[in-house]
Amino acid sequence: MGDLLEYSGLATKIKAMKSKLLREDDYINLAESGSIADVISYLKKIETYDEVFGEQTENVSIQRFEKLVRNSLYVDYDKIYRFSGEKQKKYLKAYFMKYEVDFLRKHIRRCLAVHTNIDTESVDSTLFDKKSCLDENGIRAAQSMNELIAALVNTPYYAPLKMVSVKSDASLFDYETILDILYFRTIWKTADKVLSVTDRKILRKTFGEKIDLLNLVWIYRAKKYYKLSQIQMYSMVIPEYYRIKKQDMIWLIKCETLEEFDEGLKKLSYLRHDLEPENINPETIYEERMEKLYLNTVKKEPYSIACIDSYFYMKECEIKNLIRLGECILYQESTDTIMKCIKI
Amino acid sequence: MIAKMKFLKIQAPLNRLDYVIDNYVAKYDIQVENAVAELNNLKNMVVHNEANPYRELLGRVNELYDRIKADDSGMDVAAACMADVCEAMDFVKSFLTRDEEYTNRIKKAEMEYTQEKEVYENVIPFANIHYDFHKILDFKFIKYRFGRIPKEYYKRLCDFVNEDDMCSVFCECSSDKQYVWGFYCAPESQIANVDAIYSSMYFDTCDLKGKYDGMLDEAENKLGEAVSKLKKVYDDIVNERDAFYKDNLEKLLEARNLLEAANRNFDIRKQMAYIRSGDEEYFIMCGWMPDEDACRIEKEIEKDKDIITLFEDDHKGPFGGAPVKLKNPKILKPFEMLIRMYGMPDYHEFDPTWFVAISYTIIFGMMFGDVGQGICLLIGGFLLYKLKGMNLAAIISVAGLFSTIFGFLFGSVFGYEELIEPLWIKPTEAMTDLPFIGKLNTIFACAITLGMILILLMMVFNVINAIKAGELKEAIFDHNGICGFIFYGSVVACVMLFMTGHALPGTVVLVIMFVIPLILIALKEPIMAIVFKKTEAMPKQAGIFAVQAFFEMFEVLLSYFSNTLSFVRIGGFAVSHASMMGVVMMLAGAENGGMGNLIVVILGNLFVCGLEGLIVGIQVMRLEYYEMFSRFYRGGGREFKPYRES
Repeated sequence: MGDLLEYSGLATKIKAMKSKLLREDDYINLAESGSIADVISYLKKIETYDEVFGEQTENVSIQRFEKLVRNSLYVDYDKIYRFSGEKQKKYLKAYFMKYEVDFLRKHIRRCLAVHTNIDTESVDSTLFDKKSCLDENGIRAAQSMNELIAALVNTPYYAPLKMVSVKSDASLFDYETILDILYFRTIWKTADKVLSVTDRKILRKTFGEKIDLLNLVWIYRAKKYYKLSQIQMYSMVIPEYYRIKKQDMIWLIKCETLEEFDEGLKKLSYLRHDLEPENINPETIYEERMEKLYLNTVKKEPYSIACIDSYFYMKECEIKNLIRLGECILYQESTDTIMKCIKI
Repeated sequence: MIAKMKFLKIQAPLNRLDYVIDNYVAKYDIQVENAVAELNNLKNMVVHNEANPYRELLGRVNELYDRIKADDSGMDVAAACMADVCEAMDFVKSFLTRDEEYTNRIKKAEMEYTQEKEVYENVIPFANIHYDFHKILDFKFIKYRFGRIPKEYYKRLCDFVNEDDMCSVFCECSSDKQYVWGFYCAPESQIANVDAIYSSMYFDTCDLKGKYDGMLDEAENKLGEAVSKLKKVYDDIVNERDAFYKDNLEKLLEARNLLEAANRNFDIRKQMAYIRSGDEEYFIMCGWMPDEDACRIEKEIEKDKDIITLFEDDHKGPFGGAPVKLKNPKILKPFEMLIRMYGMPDYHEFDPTWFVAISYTIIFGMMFGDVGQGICLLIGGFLLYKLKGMNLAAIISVAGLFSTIFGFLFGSVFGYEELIEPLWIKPTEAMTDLPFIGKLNTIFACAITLGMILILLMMVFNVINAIKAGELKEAIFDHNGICGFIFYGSVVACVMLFMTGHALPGTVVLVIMFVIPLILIALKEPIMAIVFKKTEAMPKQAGIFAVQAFFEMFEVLLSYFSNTLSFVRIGGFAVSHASMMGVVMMLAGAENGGMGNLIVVILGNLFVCGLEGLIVGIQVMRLEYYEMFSRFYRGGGREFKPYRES
């Protein structure tokens, strides 16, 4: 049952919040609306979205819509944070790194001028400002990677980014990889340090599997699309191993062709049940397994850290759906097409 | 007492300005006023807007002072060696130039040192290589790369690569918490691939090129020596500069003081007015000074023929009349604090310090009567006052004296009620039978009687103040004026007669004593209008006037009543002090005589003394301000601030 006493309040709060997430009939209604403004006025009936949209209903661009929808995540984060005990707060603080990494990623792209048209002017969320340790103005003002890194002195991001910057041909990919590695390692260590035994087990399982599968996905993509050298592939692996052993991982990287890699995957006992003979795609495996994992753990241990994790998972899915839905509506897709794009 | 003030005007030729400032303004207590504003009938005014020549230099000196964090405590500035501010300015200028030279030299030395140090630190990790570094780099077929790799990635490199895969050898030289230092080498044909691999492991190439040759290990030694030499050069300059600071600190301090004075004296020019008469320019300075100083300065200025002085007794400037300087015997000085907290009295008002000193301490003593604690307050307060110069401590000390006296009267020593016989009464036990009220603590009756006397006294004060300020209406018709005094005095007299069992006066007398003053108070506006023959004697709306007068009277009567009762607190605290100490004694087990537990007695005494002392102190202040000052005190004076003290 987990820690019933510790989590009774938080679990109830999250249950209430879950009940406010969008359901299938909501999506159908939304898909039928003719414009972004209609979507917003529908969403405004829901507490969290009412807060983030405020008075803005007319003339909201799709970029702004996306951003505001994302902001609802911070609102929910803040609600959960305020309901949490000390231990959970420590975990949530570490979890917040995810949002900071997202924020930094955007600005790294801007500084490296990879995507010049990125809208980075403002996160528009006082909640983000409140929780974040970053010097946002300094980061926004940065014009080059060196300036950006200088603005991050005294944050955990400084050392890894500095390390990457010594590389003469340091690319966006290098920076993003190092940030991801930092995030996963931090949360992995925090979980070990601050949480109770049950919580630790749960996090080990969810994050362990997540890291394992993400590593596989990255190697798969690197092999399929990017033609990276083996050592480069190995340098971007998150150096924590849960069910897939380090040796297996190295062995998978050293596979010369995709076929060999697929064969290799089949040999992993851990993945045996998920593999279909015809289609071995780590990306789909990742998505399916993660969904199962989040939903099953919270069913098994409703009064544990799993309730927070699963809520964030569901919320993030909802945000992805809404963003897709917004784009579909912009391109005037039919309701059926929209519903196909959305994962419920 | 409020010191008598005189308004002083000095007129002198412009070239005598510094002389006047140095010899008169800086020597006597003068509060300088803005001459242009004070004297509005000046003719032939000239504007003088000179820039202050000292300010910038003073700013630089202060900045320097902050930077070197000079310790000038105990420095003797009396041994003056500078004649005037010009010399001080010259000194400061040369000092600043020297300081700048030092700063530049230090910067240069520091740069050389850090550069060499960087080279040295780059070499240190490779110090165990006994090869000629430059030769290694010049190899034709094998390429070497020296540098460092993050430890974590070094591990990955070891995990992943075995030497068969890669045409390269990595040689570890040294390591710390984060990095592994070393070099790798590869055949020239393979070096591009190998570089890419190492680069993806974040290998950071060190720049080892420097002004050295020969073996790396030897180079390390040589570089080390060079670095320590440069460090020494740097340290030497810093030491030299510090010594220079130290030697000149005394002079610098003196120069700074001179500059500060000059800067301040220069600013006073803004307060002066300048006039032209014929070919010559004059300045006019004006300000307030105490009467006694005025005579002395007058005599002194008589010697200077070209300086004209003029004194005025009752000048009225745009900022009000004369400033107020409280002049009291030394023992009353600390009590001026209580007056200042309420606001300075008006120049024409009388200074109530002596009254506050007496009433505050007596009332405090009555509320806090205990021989032991009183002596503690007396001694403690006195010591604090002597050592720290705290005015509050002096007040506490005097209050402690009265506390001791009342302790003897109430027979209480550190809460032991049986130790000495009370000279007067025991507050908790003494009862008086009063007609109509019944049994009442004697101390309560005394407190109210004292309150009545004080209220009457306050009314007398108010009448005096009103007459001094020329406010006839306030003096006669106010509820704190003569009418109020007659009414309240009659009430007090009647109550006293009744309580002491005497017969009351006849009805006619009562009507004259009670009703007539009240009617006069109510009708003060129309009466004054008639007396001074103003056009509108009676208010137009008689109804509203009547209602307003009625409620005003109601409020006045109520305030007499409540203010009188307010004094019960004096008795209340006298009783509560005895009761609180009774509780302490009970806890100590001394309620039936004997010493009891001494620790409990001491702690209890400390607790009661601290807590009740504070409360009583505040309550007395409340009585002073609210029940007494509000009846007569006008305030609104501005404090006398002589220029030389600012």
